[in-house]
Formats: sequence, structure tokens, C-alpha cells
Amino acid sequence: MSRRRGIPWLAFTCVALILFLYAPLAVATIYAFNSGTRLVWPPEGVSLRWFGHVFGDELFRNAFATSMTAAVATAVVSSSIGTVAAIVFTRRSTKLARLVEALGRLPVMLPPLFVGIGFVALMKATSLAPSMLTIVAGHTIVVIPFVILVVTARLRTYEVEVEQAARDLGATPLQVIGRITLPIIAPAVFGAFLVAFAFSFDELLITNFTSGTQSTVPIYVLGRLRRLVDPGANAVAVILLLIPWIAFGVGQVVLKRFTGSGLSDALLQQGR
Amino acid sequence: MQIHRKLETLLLSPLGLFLAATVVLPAFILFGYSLFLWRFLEPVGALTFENYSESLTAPVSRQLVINTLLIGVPTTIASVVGGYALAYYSVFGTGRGRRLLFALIVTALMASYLVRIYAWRTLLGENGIVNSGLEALGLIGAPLQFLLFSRPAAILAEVSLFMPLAALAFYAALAGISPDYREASRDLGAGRGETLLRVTLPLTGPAILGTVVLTFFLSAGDYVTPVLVGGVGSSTVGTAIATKMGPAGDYGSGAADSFLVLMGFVFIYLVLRAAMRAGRILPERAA
Repeated sequence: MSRRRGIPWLAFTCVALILFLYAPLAVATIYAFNSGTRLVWPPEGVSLRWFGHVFGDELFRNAFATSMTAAVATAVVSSSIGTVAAIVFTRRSTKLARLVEALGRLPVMLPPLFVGIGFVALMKATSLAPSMLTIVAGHTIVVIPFVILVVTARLRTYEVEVEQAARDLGATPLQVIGRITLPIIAPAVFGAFLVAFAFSFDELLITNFTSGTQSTVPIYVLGRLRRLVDPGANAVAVILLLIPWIAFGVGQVVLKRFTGSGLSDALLQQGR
Repeated sequence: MQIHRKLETLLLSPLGLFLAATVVLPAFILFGYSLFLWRFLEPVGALTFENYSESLTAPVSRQLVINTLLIGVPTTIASVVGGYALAYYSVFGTGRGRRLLFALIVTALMASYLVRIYAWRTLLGENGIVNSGLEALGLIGAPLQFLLFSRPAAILAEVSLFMPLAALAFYAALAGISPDYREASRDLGAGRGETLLRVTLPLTGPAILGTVVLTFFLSAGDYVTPVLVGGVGSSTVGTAIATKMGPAGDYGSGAADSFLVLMGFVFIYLVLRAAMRAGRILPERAA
């Protein structure tokens, strides 16, 4: 055990930094439940009127449906293609595997703007119109590195011997993957699915280029923010905060329960 | 289990082909686009480097780069220093606060990107909490207009976007340090500050280099924050590229700008790496 003394000034700094990160979110949340129209401090009273207001807006309901569809589709696509690729990454280090792995890591090192304008060029060159397909493709790029992280973290810790046993008993490699590997890593794949869902639901910087006339929730909020005074925007902001948080929270709990280490532990590997 | 060649190709091809088509191919298309002048969303004339020379010489580019630096440099410094402090305490700190702090960092990272920017409006706006508070205290007579839609507002918002990311990267790096090194440093008589400067910082050198460049890169590429809270003087290379590739439809110039920005970042990375090696914060062969 190292000799640990308290680091009071550092603890104080950290509290200040956390306040800095959360205070704006807290204030926006408080205003979402404000009964008044003006954003004055202190708020004028408590009500849910802005949530009713938002859900009564057909544009919001459409945007919500689009975001949900895109997030589910992104989660399905990215967790499938990411998982099968991760199975190879952890077992083989051929040139092809290294190349695809490096490609899979690239999107976290690139500002989303560059992925977005890549889509503009791709759509122009292939005469592809913006659609749900392009939205999902854009989201899949940004979430792929996280899917690979979460699944790989699980694949590194599980006992490979069971696979060899299945092989010895006559299973083909494809059967082993389908009936041994995938069931064992299923909680991690589910966790990856939820991370993908969370990031996709909130994605704005690429969607801006790939969605055309369709609105996702973040695009809808961005549109509302062009109006200067809009108390309803706080209610949408709260919805936009909560959905990814809930998805991530469920993923964290499920993964921790089944594998002993949560999503946050897998995310940490990113810095290595 | 041994995965044979055919199975490997089968399992890798969906991801490989997808990324080749959506990340690699567009880079080549963009480069092609950058070599033409564009009129009404179509390339015109012959191959030319005019987009590049135009971007390099136009006075407006200079202002964009200056704005990018004026927002990006303070944002990067604050995010990296704050992120390092958060990570340091959640790895080496004492007590139960340590785990809670880590959970709060991850939760902040998962908070909506757009909401984290937008929330600053409720704080800094004309009737926001800061102005109301100052007025109530009698410090100001009328709301301060310059709080919102200013460069400092953009910096504050971007720091709140990128600090949790920096903290997570540093957490991983700090948690990966063997306690023996720090122990040895203290046994040899170094104080906490000396251990930090001469042992811990150099051991996390690669993470510092990577995080500094990534944060600055993300700041330059963030085209939403400057528009939402930054106001008129905050147009950056990112907002310029987004406008050219979006509403303006000037694909040639937008693509050329993107490649220039990318090259700029490779240059910044190399300079910073050399500087960190000279300052002995980065081991000779790392990164």
C-alpha cells in the first residue's frame, strides 16, 4: 500500500470542475420544469407544461421516431459487424486483421465534421440521396470503435478452452462461434448495442450532413435553438439528456452483473 | 480456437468493406473534388490547385485560423489540465470520493453533446442565472450582453465538452502506471510535486500528446458551438468547412480546406512531439 495522504486542494479543484460540468445541465433541467415563459432566475413555479408542449408538437414526434429508428438500426448493424470483426482481432494478427482494426479505430481520432463531409462527397459522387440509410451509415462509423472496445474487452477475459473443447468434439469453427463464443459474450454484445444506441441517439455533427430533410431529435433541437427565447427547448434538452443516459446505465448494470466489469471499464481501454 | 483464412475474411469483410466505402473512399473523392473549381454544385474547368492557393492566401483564411487558435488553444489547455486533475484524483486520491468522481466523469461524457453546449445559454443568457445573480447582488445595473455570443462563451462550452474525454484518457494512462515507480521516487526522497513532474507526467507523456492534439482537433472541427454560443467573431476553420460543404455547396474549396487542416494537425503533432521530447515529458521512442 502506498503512503497516501489527502490531497485537499486537488479534491477542492475536482469538486469545482464537476460543478462546472454539471451546473449548466442542472440549470437547463430546472428550467424544463419551470411554469413561466421567461427564463428568469429564480424560476416562476413548477410544471410539466413544456413537456406536454413538446410531445404535442408533431415535428418533435416525427424527429423522435426517426431518432429511435436510426439508433436501433445503428445498434443492430454496428454490434453485428463489430462483434464478428472483434472475434478475429483477438485471435489473429494477420495483415488484414491489423488493417481492419486500425480502420475501426480511426473514427475516434477524427472530428465528426470530417466524417460528415466525407458523406457529402460520397453522396454527391454516387448520386445517393440523404435517407435513413445514410443517417445509419454515418452513425455506424462513429459508434464502431466503442462497439469493438466493449466486445474486445470481454473476449480478452473469457476462457478460450471451451472453444477448443467444442472443436475436439467435432464442431466446425462456424458452429463454435455461433453456439459457444456468441452465447458467452452475449452480455457484452448487448452492452455494445446499448452504447451504440446511446451515441447514435445523440449524434448531431455527422447527421447534419446525412439527414437531408429528415429531422432527428438533435437536429430538431438545433432548429429550435435558432429562436432565442424558447422555454420548450429545455424540455427537449432533458429528453435528449435522459435517453442516452438510460441506455448507458442499463448497459453498465447488465454488463457488471454478468461479467463483473462494466461498460465504463471497457471504455477506459481507449486511452491505452 | 484457430480461425482459418476463409473464415477470417468472412468475419472481417462486413466491417472492412463498410469502412472502406464510407471512410477511405470518401477521402479520395474529396481529394479529387479539391482539384476542381465548383459552380452550382458541379465541377468546372480543368485540374487546378487554385482552391489550395486561394485558401492559403485569402485574408479571410488568416482570420479563421486565428479564431480557431483563440478558441482552440485555451480550450485545449483547460480541458487537458482539468482532465488531468480529475483523472489524477480518481486514480491516486483517497476515500470514497474517488469512485464517485470516476462515475461522474463517465456520466458527463455520456451527456448529450448538443445539450452540453446549449445549457450554457441558460446560464449566460441575458436573463440567465449569472446575469440575474449579479443584478440581484447589485453589482451590475443591466444584463451583461457580452457573456453569451462571445469567444469566452464558446471556450467554456467546448471545455465542458472535451474535459471529460481528456479525463477518461488520462485515467487509463494513470491507472496503467505501476505503483512501484512512484513508490521508488518517494523512497528516493522526491516530494509529491517532484514525483509528479519527473515520474508521473513523463510516464503519461504519450497520453498527454495524444489528448492535446485530439482535443485541439475536435475543437477546430466543432462547427456547432461557435454558432450556438460563440457569436460573430467565432467563425473557425470548422464552421467555414461546414458551410462550404453544406449550404454554400462549394465542395472544391471545402475539400481543399479540409486537407490543409489535416496537414496542419499532422504538423502540430510533430512539433508538439519534438517539444515534449526536448522537455523530457515524452520518452524518446514512445508515440
